[in-house]
Amino acid sequence: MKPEDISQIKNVMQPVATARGLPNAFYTDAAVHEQEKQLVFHKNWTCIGFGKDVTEPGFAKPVNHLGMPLVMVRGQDGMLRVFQNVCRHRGMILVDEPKQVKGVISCPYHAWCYELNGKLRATPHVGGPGNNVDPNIDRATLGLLEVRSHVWMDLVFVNVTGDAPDFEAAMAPLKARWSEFMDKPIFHGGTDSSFKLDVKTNWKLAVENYCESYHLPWIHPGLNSYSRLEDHYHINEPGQFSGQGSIVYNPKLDDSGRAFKNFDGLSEKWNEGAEYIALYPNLLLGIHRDHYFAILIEPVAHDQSIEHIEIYYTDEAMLGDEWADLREKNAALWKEIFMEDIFVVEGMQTGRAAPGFDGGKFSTVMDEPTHTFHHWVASQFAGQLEGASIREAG
Amino acid sequence: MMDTADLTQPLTPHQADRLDADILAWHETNSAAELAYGYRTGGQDAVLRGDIDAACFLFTQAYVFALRADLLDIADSLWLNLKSFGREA
Ligand code: FES
Ligand SMILES: [Fe+2]
Repeated sequence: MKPEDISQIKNVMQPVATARGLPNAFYTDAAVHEQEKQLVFHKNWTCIGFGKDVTEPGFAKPVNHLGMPLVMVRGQDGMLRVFQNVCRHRGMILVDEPKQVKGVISCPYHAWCYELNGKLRATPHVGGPGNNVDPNIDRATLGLLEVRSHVWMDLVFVNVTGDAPDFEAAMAPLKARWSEFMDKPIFHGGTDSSFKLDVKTNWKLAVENYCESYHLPWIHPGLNSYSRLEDHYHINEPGQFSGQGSIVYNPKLDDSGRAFKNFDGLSEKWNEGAEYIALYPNLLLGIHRDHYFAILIEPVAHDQSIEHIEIYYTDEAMLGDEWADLREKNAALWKEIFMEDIFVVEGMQTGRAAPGFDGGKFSTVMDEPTHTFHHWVASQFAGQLEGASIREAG
Repeated sequence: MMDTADLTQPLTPHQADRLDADILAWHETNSAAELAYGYRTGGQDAVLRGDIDAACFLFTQAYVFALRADLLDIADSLWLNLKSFGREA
């Protein structure tokens, strides 16, 4: 990052009225993207996938997490664990595609075998043909490299550096906000409730666009007819998440009056309330009385992202064939909305090649959730800022 | 056909050739369970012929494929076998 970009970070951390947005380099510079991997993603709790993709004991799914090969594994004990997807012997990739590995993860190269909890179980011929012992190979110290992980709302989070605050503590504000939904079972809608969107944009622009309701009348005029701008409120939890809420959620998917089952025991607030929250860094969540969705934004490159959208329902009965048409309608509705957003998140990416763009100017009324996100990203770079000031002082 | 029974006498040359061919074919098709039984039979044959090094090589092959196929009882008995020959820890 150039010195002028670093000094601009200070401007991002001002109050919304005087702040600037993140400088162009945060969107256009592959080197900044590299720095973000460490400062923004690995140091924090970051979502890498969904538990529903690894339901059976012995099932393993590889994940390319920002270029880091990981693998999610469901143990015989039902626990989901995340490991670096690499053999401790010669560094071969262990699991190359989602598959049932049964009892062990066995390296395709020299067949070292790891238990699903990561323990190194077998080292065939390691002491010569037919001899599986080498005094220099201590199996107890050569287990798979586990990555600190936690599953919540079927979301698989990792903290790569291992030193982020305890997951429960980190998520306490959102858990408190959505306490009525916590610990209630959720059921993924299946293949009709799962889709991906490839977007030529930096992951942050997808977050920023999701945080705000300002664009609804222009980008989602259809949505605006029954969910108007004035029926939305801002959500701001500095350092954690931001987004928007609606007070007029009233889905009519079916003329016959059929409707998905609601979560049990919700208060009146949620009869027509819905909330859309960007949980930093790269997870977009939507909660309603009758369904929940998550969008995992996979940052593929500084100018390329994949949005993984997964929709969940409140009751196993909603997964039946008799509900397939409504599930498909619901998924299609969301897909249409998310696709309406693509040209703006891609257009803002293109716009950031304009050298005169200075991070932009926030509306104090409409852009606060966006600024809260920018402030958080900038603060992850605060250490760089101190380094820079020291260099300046020197 | 894979033979899951313990071997009581050494394989005839014809049976041994047949087992080699089967094992190659099972490698082609990634048939872990068949490979576990096939290599185990080979190992038992080597024990009966008194060739412990060859037996341990084949039992080790069998052990890995038993683990891959989730044949845990077979894997455990192969492990005990290998341990009795000082080839496992
Ligand atoms: S690299 Fe995995 S066993 Fe050799
Ligand atoms: Fe939108």
